Amino acid sequence: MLQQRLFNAILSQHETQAEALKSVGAILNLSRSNAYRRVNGGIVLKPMEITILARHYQISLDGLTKEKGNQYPMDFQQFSFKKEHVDLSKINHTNKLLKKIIQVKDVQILVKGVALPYHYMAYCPEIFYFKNQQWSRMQLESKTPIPIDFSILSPTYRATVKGHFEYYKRIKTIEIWDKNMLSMLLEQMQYSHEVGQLDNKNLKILFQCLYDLLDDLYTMTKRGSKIEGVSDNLEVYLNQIPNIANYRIVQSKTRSPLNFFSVSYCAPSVAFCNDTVFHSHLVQVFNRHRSQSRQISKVDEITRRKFFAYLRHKVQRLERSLLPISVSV
Amino acid sequence: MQATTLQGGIFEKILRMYPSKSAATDDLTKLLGTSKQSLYRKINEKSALKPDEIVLLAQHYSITLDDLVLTDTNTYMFHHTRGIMQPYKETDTEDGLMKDMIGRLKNATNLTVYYTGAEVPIFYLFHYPRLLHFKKYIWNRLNSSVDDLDYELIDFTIPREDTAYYEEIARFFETINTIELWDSAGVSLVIEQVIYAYNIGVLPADDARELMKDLTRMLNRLEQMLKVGSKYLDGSVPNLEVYFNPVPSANWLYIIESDQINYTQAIFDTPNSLLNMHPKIQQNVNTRFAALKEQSHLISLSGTTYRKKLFANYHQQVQKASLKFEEEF
Repeated sequence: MLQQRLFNAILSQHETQAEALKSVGAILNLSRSNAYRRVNGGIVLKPMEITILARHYQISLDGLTKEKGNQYPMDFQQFSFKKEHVDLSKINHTNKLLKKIIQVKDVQILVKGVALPYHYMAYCPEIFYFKNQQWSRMQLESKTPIPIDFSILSPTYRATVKGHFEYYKRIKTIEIWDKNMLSMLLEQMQYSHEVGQLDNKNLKILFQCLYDLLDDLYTMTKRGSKIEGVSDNLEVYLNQIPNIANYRIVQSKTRSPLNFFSVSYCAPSVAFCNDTVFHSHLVQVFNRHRSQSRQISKVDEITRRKFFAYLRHKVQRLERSLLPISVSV
Repeated sequence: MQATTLQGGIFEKILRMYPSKSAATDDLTKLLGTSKQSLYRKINEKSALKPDEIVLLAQHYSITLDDLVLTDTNTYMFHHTRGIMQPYKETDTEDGLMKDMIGRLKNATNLTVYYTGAEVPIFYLFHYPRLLHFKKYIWNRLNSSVDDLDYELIDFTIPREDTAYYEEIARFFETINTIELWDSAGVSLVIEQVIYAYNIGVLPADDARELMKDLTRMLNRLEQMLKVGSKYLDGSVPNLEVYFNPVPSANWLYIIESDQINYTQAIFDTPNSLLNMHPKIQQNVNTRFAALKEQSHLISLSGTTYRKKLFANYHQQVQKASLKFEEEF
């Protein structure tokens, strides 16, 4: 079974069987007939040969030996942060992906998270930068946080981050939000202020960004679109059953290779998976949760208003507790 | 993993799962249907494992092969599990899953569990059958389609064998050495879930009050445990180290380390989680956990001020929610 699956995977990487045989023969230092006998199962592969082939073709043996369908090969993207924290590698990586996705007409992204979807942080470079600082906590072994100063953000940084949001805006998304979607961000702001990482001036800037973001999110959900003039590219639901979740699913009927999903795995690291079985399972889970959630985009104005009033109230309450009224930007 | 060959690495991993080599060889001869002499030749790499034997061993012992073969890849095998009680493979019943975990971890030596998450570890709830029963209800509801949802009252009749089983799990967790990061949201989620169930009418006020009482009992128990630095209230075994993480965690992560078994389990949509056994991911997650721990405050055995503040906050959350149910009464 393993031998056959391994050769199937190898054959799929070549145009023809003849080309595959030639390549296998060269890699294992075998004659063409000996290579053929291994491919057709006449000769059993030795563990060393399996190793050499899997390594050469970068084939996951775990993927070939999986049982019962509960194991899936996933691409683990570990993001790191430079000391100066103005690192664009993560967002450049995601922007590349979004650029690809935008090309496909029927693509949509399903998003569920207990926190504000990360793409919306890019609405404002200051929020995005601040969030990156928080992720970097997971990597720094120092108790002393590096002070945040938004004035150091370069035009390139600002343009790249804003570009991310522009890409995201153009994609149809269906999102399940949580009433606690700002809680983590607000607690992180409070903590950063308490430990001296955020001074009053920079904190004030961050609060202003949040108010602007909330205003725009309200407008977007009200019209059911992230862009004015484009109809129905945003469906938002309010999660009714409190639970922990953080994933996004990319879906396209016409471009099946684009069907993949990503989940947080020790955030900000992310695991990507394009396994069709797991993908459709997660779509089912998402749809189940969506059916139990309350739509607040376009319809149900009362709930939408209440929800945004609640979020604004949380932001205001924290702002009042942290900032003296006289602080100006 | 230091082994240089696929075959050597497989046996190295398997032998580590047993307290003695003879216990391993007994099982292996039965599994492979071979004599002891023939098995030793394979262990010593004097004769080669056949591809199907590699698959059999990998599946039976749930071991990853990619770390033995692929040295430069981001693709890893993840196991999808439907609950933290199901760390290895799918079996028919939940009891079976938990027993499978207990069976494997019970034999593990130098076992330590590291945890960081938005709630206190679920295992503490096992002392309180009603609370756990309620949590299971919520998980089931999350996993139900809208057609299957009912609005009948939650039935708190818990079969005697279930209670005994919960107790067994609670006792088992008590024996494990754990290092845990908690945050201010430690009991927020369960409280929100109780309020949700109450609001939709499936949880009467008196049951909600009972759950709140259980939560208070649990908090009292946890506080006592932290005071003595042990899961045993008399402090007889120093097996609990808890830190207060000042910023709520975006991750819900268990890291299992022992001489025999090592894996990481992260929840991405409760109760769905992903489990990974690859050393590279383990190392990545360990680094991040260590960084978070370094920036957190020890509250077990010492750190009385932080501990008192944290528990006052937890109790306050419980009391605030309880008031809601008292008013109805």
